Amino acid sequence: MTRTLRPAALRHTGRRALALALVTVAAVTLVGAWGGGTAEAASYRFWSYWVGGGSDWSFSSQGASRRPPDGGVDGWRFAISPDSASAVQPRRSPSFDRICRGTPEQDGQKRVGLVIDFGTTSDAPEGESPPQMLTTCAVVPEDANGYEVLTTVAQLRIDDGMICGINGYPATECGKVVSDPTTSPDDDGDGEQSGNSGDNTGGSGTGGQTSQKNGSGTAGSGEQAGDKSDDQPSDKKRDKNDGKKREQGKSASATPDPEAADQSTSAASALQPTAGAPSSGSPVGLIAGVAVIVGIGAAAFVLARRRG
Amino acid sequence: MSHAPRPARYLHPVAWWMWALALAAAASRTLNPILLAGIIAVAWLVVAARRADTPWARSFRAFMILGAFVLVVRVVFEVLFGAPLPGTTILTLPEVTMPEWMAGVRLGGEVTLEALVAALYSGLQLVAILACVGAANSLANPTRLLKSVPGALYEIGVSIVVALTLVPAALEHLQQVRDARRLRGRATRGLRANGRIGGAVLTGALERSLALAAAMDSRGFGRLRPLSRAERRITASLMLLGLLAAIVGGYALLDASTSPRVATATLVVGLTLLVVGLIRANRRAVRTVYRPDPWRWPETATVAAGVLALVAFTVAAWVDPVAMLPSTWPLTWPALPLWPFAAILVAATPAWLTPPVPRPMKDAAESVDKPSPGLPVRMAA
Repeated sequence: MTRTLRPAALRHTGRRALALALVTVAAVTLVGAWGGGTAEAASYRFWSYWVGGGSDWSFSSQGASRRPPDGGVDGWRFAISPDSASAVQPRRSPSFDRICRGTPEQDGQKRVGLVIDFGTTSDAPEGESPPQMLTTCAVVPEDANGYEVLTTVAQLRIDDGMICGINGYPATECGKVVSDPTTSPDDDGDGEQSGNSGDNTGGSGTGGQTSQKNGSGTAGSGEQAGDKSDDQPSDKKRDKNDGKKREQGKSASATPDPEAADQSTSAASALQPTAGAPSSGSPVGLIAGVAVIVGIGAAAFVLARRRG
Repeated sequence: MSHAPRPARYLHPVAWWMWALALAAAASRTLNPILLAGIIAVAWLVVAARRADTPWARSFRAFMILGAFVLVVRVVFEVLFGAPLPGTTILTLPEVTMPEWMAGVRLGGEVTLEALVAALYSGLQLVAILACVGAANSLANPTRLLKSVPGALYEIGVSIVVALTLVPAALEHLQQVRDARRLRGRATRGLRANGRIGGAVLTGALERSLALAAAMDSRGFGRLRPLSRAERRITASLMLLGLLAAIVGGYALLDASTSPRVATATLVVGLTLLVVGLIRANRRAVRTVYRPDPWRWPETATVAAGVLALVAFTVAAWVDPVAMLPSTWPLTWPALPLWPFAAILVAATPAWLTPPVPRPMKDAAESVDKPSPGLPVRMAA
């Protein structure tokens, strides 16, 4: 019925709107085509936890909250994978005998082999290069879980209940989404570049290898201002470790595993978490801020009471 | 501003909602407990200063109670189900390990200070967002908000309001039917009785709806300007397409596997189409608004205060993520980022910048010729 009433002006706007709609549809299609290439294979770059059994690695549904048995081997691998089910395994076989050969048993403690695989260069965040693989034998209390085993030998960066970085690698990111394993578009990670590259050139000798690795960890985590104060005690611990290692250095053979085992025994003695008590920042600004907020709250309270 | 007391009026409800949503979005950018506490305090202050004496204005308290509940639940869940990350143990609970077929989840065990603080931070963030939404609910008048709804959605808005007002009426009718049955000595319980009561209540609701529809029709509700079929089809397809693109874009933005560029582009295109469609649909409306809410500088200032906080928080989260997301492992004292904190203080200014709310009770008590408490107050418009 309205077709007969249709004025020329309306017909005009109708055509214009149709054109607009067509243009937007074209724009959507174009945008889809333009972005389609980057949106194809989205994966995550993260540390995955592995349980060693015989010569194979297997995935644990419990994650690292699992308590590894005496004589077990834990593995950690940093890699890009679409999900946890298809995560990439550590590249060294979980042989407890080989890893813990040089570590004596202790009363009330258990020995757990630990393989920390920092991954390949292609999996590394831009500007960072993966440290050498770390293989140690951790001596921990009987009830220690996977996380506690890891803390005995490595510096962790944890965010929101996730292991984000081990020994400062990666430096800043956490479970980052990467669109393609070969071309990872990262915008972070420029400051730690020099520290890590320096580490890689220096870390060729067997003796200096582990200490260099720890050094790279400091360079990476030291970037975050909040961590700075906490790095102090751990640095001291590391110095102590290095000193102990130098004493035992003569007995260490050329193969990397017993060497790493030596390092782990000294680290295991310092099981106490280094990042225990809250560090004291600058309390003046903090107190002022809290005072202002309490003031606002008090004003709100008074106003609300007056209104009834 | 002049020194004379400002005339009392309600701020435009859209301004309150934009201020509150911007503040909530700002809260989602940080886990810093000081900033989050600041946002909660600011929301409370503005509500205390500028809420109306109306039933919906009391909703802020309800939202804060809900927030406290959420915070407690968050902390309890962390204690029970949290990952046993190493840290400073403050409490050891009896531990239960679920069997393997239940994914071997570990309940209880050691509770670390680090995990507890992290749970508190994220819980506080939820509380802050709830406080912002509660503030908007408490400050903005819902019936006035309906006036600001675009003409194309006006019918839907009216339907919602009618439905909401009819719910109490239906409940009242239910009670009446029950009482009538009881007076006649019939059963009020049991399947049969409930069926009869339900039938009577439904009939009553239908009758009321028909009466309301007749009343609205006689007052000219729903009159539309005649449009050509092509015109209507274009408008409908624009809205449909826009809605589809907006939904797909919104999902893609949340889903990590899609590139954020594509997601944002799709969302923007979808919203644009939707807006164009709404504007076109508006042409059908021949309705004019009775006593429209004005948009003056206090409205603009309120929105600006909220948006400023959002911008400051977003920039700070990008520039200084350590201060905005304080590390809980290792545990550190949260720093006080200066600019976001200053932005929070600016976000509190609507408590003074906005005109005072009309107070029917007070005004009526002061002068006799003002309208009585029950009646709507005349706006300074």
